[in-house]
Amino acid sequence: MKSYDVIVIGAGHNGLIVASKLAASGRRVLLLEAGETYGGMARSEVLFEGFQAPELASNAIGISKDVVQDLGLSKYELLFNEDGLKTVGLSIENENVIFGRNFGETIEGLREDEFKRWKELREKFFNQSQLFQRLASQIPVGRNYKTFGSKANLFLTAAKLRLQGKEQFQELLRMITMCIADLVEEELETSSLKGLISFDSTLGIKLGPRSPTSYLGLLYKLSQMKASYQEKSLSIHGGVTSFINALFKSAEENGVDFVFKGKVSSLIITDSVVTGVKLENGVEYSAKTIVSSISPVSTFLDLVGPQNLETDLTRRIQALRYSGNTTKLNIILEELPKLHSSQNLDANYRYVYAPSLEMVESNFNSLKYNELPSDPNFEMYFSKISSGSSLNGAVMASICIQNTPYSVKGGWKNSKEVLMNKVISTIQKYAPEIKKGILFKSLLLPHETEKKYFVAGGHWHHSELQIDSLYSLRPAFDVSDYSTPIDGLFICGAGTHPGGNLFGLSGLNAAKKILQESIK
Amino acid sequence: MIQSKDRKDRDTTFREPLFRSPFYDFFAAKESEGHWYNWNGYKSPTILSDEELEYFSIRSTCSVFDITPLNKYRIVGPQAEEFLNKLTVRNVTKQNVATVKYTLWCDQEGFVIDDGTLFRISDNDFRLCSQEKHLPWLIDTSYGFDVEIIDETKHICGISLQGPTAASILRQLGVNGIDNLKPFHLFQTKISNMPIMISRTGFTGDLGYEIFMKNNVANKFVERVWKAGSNHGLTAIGYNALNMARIEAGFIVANIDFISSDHAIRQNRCRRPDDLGLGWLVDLNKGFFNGKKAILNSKLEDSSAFKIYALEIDGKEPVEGSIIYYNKKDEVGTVTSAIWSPMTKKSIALAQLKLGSSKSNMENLWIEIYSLKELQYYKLMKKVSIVKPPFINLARRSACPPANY
Repeated sequence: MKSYDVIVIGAGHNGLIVASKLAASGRRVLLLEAGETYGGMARSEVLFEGFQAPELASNAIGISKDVVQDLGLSKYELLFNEDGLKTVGLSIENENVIFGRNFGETIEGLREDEFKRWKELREKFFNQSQLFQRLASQIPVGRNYKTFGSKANLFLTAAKLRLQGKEQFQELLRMITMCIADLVEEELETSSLKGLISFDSTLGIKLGPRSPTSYLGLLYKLSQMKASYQEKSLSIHGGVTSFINALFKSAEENGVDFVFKGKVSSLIITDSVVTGVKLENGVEYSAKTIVSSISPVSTFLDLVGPQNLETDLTRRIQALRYSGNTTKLNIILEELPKLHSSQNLDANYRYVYAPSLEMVESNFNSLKYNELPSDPNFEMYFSKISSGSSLNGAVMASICIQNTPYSVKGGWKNSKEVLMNKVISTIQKYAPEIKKGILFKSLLLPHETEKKYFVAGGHWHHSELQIDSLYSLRPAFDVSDYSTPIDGLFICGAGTHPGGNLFGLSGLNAAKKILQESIK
Repeated sequence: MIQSKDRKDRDTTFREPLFRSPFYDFFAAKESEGHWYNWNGYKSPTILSDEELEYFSIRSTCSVFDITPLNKYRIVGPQAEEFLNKLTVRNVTKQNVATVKYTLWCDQEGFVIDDGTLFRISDNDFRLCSQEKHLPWLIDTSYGFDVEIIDETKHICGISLQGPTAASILRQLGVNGIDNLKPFHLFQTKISNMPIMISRTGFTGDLGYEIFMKNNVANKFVERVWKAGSNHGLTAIGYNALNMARIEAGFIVANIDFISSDHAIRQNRCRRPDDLGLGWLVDLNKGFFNGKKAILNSKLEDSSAFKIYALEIDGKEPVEGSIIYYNKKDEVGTVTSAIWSPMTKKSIALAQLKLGSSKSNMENLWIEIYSLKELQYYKLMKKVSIVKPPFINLARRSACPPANY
């Protein structure tokens, strides 16, 4: 049996970060990945005629600046979009709003007085997002809650927010559990703007704009934006891949060993102490420290197993909500489609189809009852394919469809085509010629993501990012500080604090925790 | 029109808020000065005729008590033993078929949820009896184990025969094998085609048996027992008499002598097995079980928790609920159960006390009693001494074969 200091399970971005950071500290690290290559849900797949691109992750709202600095990723080639990302909020009456970089620093297509109110609202949003921004890089208060040290950061965060003044603090407490619909309806009129903000607040989580606490979704997103390179975002064209490759190179250079197609079947645990892992092909590796970056549900219920877990924890893990609700549609087009208003589509823009808040809410209602959204909302990126393949000059449209149920009434067999056609015909309203140029299209539903990417429920965040599963409650109180009741076992996936997209702080915080623990 | 079948299936609990045990008619017929109470949703007697006479039937003849309201869970399946090893603190692997063990189960902090008796009917077939309801806990604990958990509380009923003549009554009834039945053992048999399960267990510290059967034979069976007991002083009893006997035997009851951890609102009310004097049940050498880590860790800490003690108190005033002081001034705890013990002729009590580890704290303990005498309270300070439970130790409890009275 080969022996290592640390074994990391899952080569997603969080797994890569932990592996690289721990290897940099001089530990011998093995990274086990069930798939054929690294990158997890951000990995590249051959989509069409040898053309490779990330099938799921089209763009990261933010990768944490801390991660880039800590691992020294800037020495590898990270592709950024220096101008930041602009978003077009498509509207039905062709009164699109164009949302400037940095979440609407400027907005085209908005009356001046409304923009003034928007500016104030936006400032409030960003100001309040500091709460999460500060918490994101902290190790949450967990099982060590009895010591003051564990709570010191939390007190400090609260104190800093309070020091901004009584009014601002009261406003935070008033707003934090509200629904985004109430907040935007207080101040704004333009339907497509309200739709866009509702969409951004609820994409990827099972809430509608009128659900209480849906404002948290927006705060969360903004806090990630602020913690990343605010002025620039990862480029649509290869940005995600450049980040994943940089992480891989960093891990490789730090001496991490990789095993692909090495799906772990169970952990070797004796008397609540983990000593190694067993792969499905029967190979075993031993290590004193095991870090799991896969979803908490799989980690605890499949790898650890209920026979090694307290009933209290089994209960909490079982109660996690982790069925995915976002579907990915990839289309390869001969060329960039033209809008019928003779205006050209810009490949540097993000397009969001959420013409009104009511539409987002009604599609969420469909999700609740496991029905197909009647007029699905989605976001869409276009990236030009330039790498010397036969597809030179073609364009990939990368589309995230919101509010698609994990299991749909009547089964997905018949509904899959219907969903795809609904989205394409919506795009056709804006770009009439789109259907002619389609070379390839593929739809990846949550349950298909689950199977292909080994993610329980196919949920992008491993478990819902909602008020009852944040910070100390993510994924569950007893395991929120990245350590677990099994000695030597740590978790670091998106299911831990702070989780979310390609942020990367779950991995970094977990690595810090492991380094702290072993100093003692 | 509502079909008669539907009518039968309908929930009628609103008409009769408390369930009637299958033995209800039998016990109600024995009532002269009856008091009834709600035990786990069943209408159960506290006193049927006379509390003291009922108590003395336990110690000098034989008593019959309805134990149907106890929660009874059947645990069946190839992994039943592994499941119970995770659930409970004792090593179930060491429990032989046809035996009964007293056991308890804890949450992840090592705090006791409840205690109960575990009947091993066969290799893969167990019955767990407890005071409180635990079905959700059992089902959640069974996640990942090949085991089925059935709440048979309403389908299985039982009586407890306790007292020196209990064995004789069962012999009279025609039960074979009573002579060889050792304490904490069980067997299944048939009495005129009525299948029953007999175990030599009880809650009195006396010779006694518990008999479980299906509801449909309940009445016929208990009438047969009554007839067999007519010359052996068989008396139907309520809870108060049983309670006196169990305090003498030093048995504790969840939510009376300690607060079950899933009932406790205040965190410092939770107790670990050691605090209940039941640390000897915990097998730390077996594999993982609920609460193991916390129990191990708690042994490293300097324990300053409340613990349960058995006390003897000078004088004969009732001491229930009284406060206990060290050196007559520092409060150290309260009495949870107490009686004047007819067997030892002493005032005895179970109490939770916070004494620390120092031996000297165990002496110089006093109890503050407010004794009401013709509308005036007299405050008394009486000397308390800690004793080793049980308060009584009867040879007939474990004699095998039991004598024929």
